[in-house]
Amino acid sequence: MNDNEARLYEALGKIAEAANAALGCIKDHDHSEAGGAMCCTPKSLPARLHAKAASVACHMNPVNAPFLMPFGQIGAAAQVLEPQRIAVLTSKYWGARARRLTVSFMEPTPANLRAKIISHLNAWTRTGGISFVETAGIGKIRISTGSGGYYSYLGTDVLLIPRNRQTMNLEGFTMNTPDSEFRRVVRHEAGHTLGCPHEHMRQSLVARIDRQKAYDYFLRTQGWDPATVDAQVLTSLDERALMATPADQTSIMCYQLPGSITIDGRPITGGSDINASDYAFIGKIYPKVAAGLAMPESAAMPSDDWDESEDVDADLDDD
Amino acid sequence: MGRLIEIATMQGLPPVLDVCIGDLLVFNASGAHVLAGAEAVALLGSFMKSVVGDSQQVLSPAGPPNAVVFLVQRSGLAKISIVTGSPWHGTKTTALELAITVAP
Repeated sequence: MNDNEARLYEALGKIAEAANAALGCIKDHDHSEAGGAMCCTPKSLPARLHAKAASVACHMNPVNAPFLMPFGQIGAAAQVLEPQRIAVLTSKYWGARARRLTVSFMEPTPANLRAKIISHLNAWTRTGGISFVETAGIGKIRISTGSGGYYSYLGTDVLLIPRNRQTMNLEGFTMNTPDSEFRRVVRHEAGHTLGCPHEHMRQSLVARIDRQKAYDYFLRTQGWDPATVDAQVLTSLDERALMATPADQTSIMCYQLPGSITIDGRPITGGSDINASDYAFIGKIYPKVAAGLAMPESAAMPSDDWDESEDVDADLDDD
Repeated sequence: MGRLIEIATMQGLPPVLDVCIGDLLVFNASGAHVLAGAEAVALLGSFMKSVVGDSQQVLSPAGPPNAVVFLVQRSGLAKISIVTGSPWHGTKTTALELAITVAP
């Protein structure tokens, strides 16, 4: 059996483990078929390999990172994140299971507008497993089209907002609002509901901004004091708190900032719609899984061990 | 006694708004300026409306400021401008005059 065949066999074994666990078949592995269907039991690695396994897991899928951050001994390994796009705050993350978030509206809203807004919220479901569905009652996601600008609470924070307050504001949206604004604004705010912060606050993008020029610009146009500019534009996110990727200025989560405030004079272009990298990232952290195959809560797994001389290095290269 | 005056929209406001010393004006807006009469009215700042969540912590949404606050301090005339819309994609600035008197 060559290496590729061995890796294929291993992958098939893992798929079988996941399927059997989902079907509730937890028995010791027994190659014999006596007594009924063959079942497999997932095994855990020996303790000395936990840190290495965490590094590999983070490398293979950034969604693994938040579960490993508390483990101090992993340290830099947990910060090894594959270059991709956008980010999700780990503390606002909904979790990897597919879920449907109920949506209601704070004011009487025409049915066609409600449907259109929700369809744009669901644009992320092209790749992501979190969907939005209207409810006649009070939704987990509560949308207002009244005054207050455009905003959304981040990720799971929406569950903590008093039920008589909106979790998302889409000021002035009507059926006459251009489709481009539905794509730019509604999908952006939906990204916040999924836990994504502002992409323009990523370290590498903030580093492109001339601080004094930003202060002058936003004082002139907005009347903002330096503290407000710092909070809105110049304070980068703690990259350790993100499941993330190198910053992407065309992400739907990135605002547009003019070249007049950047060090190199080039604008931060901002995103006007969910781009391919946004879709790919959301698909990784909120995978779409077929019904019935969602993994149950993990129970304690029996551990296996072998001589340390047999430990191998994971092949992290893409095929 | 000062009043907290919430102004949700600039539409329908009179060209000159009569207010009193001690009033607090809160506009749904992303920014503002004092154009004249800085001794009469103070711009306290731009704020993001937040709530105390069920977790008993203050929670703020993601987005630009959506409230600007003025404190009326002395009698006289003042002129302010209110910035609404998105700071990143297009704003609208509306001027408003304030005629400030002593509260009755």
